[in-house]
Amino acid sequence: MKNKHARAPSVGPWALASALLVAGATAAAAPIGLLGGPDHFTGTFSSTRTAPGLFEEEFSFTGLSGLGWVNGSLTTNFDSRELTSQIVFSSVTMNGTPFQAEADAVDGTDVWRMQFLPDTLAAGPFMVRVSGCAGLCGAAGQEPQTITASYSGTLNVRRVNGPLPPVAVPEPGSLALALAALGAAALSRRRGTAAKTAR
Amino acid sequence: MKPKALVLMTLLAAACAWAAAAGRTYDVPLVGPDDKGNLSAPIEASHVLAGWFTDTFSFGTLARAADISGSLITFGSSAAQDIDFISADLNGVPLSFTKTTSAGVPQARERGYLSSSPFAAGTPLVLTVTGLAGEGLAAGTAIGASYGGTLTITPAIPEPGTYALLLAGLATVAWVARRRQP
Repeated sequence: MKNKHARAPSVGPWALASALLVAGATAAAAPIGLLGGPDHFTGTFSSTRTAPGLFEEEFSFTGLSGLGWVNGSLTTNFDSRELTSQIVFSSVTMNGTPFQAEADAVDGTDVWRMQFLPDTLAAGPFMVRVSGCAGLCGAAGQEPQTITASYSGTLNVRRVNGPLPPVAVPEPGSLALALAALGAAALSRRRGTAAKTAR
Repeated sequence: MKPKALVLMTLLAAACAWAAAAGRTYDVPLVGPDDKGNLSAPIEASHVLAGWFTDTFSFGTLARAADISGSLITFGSSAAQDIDFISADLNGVPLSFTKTTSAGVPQARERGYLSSSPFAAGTPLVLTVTGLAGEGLAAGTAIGASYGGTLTITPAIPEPGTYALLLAGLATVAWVARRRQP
């Protein structure tokens, strides 16, 4: 596999345009039951777009409603000789937290688009929202009536049992040090002002 | 422990390990063909028991010769709660993998790539994925890990010979048209 992390033809302007455009009705997929337990849950979601253009799809996960650490992944691939199999992601979020997009992976005419959601604390129910565009997405050419473009993803949830992990609180020593530094700063300011006034 | 109970437990453990390692077979219908003859299918698999697995995805038979590319993806936040891909192939054509560390977990992010490869018409398509779910845990331990993927099928591009024939035909048409002009 060569040139794996080279950039594919830029889709930036299109992604921006589709983000600005008001997308049509959001399609809600059938709720997905999270599997596993008692502490670790997992689920998958996918879609195949058969009509070209903008889309927004919601995947809601059932079976766990409390707090959880959530992570996920998302993938699509296409042959750039046949852009009608293309998916352009403009926004992928889990309960509002965005997935992180990787640079397109490229090998010859093949392009792979992948995104990851690092561990994120969220309160269930959990929902993944995917918006983007399928097909030519603004590229030159005749958009056909029907296309076939798929994407697929995963979601893992680690249930948070009991109290939340403590937020780091500075130790008394560090607080005293910070106070001392502030005091020193104030003192030096005062001295500076006094010296100027004396002149 | 009585010898009989020991034997029984050993058998039970072996059965659990086998069950966990067996994996699953999925029938995945291809979506399409669309206006241009393309087909596509998403791939999804979840593992809630730790252990080695071999999952197979059957996509049915290819109606016409095609170039097929694909992807696989998984992400886990700890070694015990993720999928480690060992290998994957579509009818023997292997996928390549890249694995990267995320938040201190080695091989947390794993991506699989199937570069465009030719497949003949009439071929039953089978994707085989082998891996380890929940590394370091006893087989059968409850976990939550999954992976996804896509398969993209485009009709085979005509071979150079076909193009040559087309060009020869066009040239003949042009020649005839020229001759007809007064």
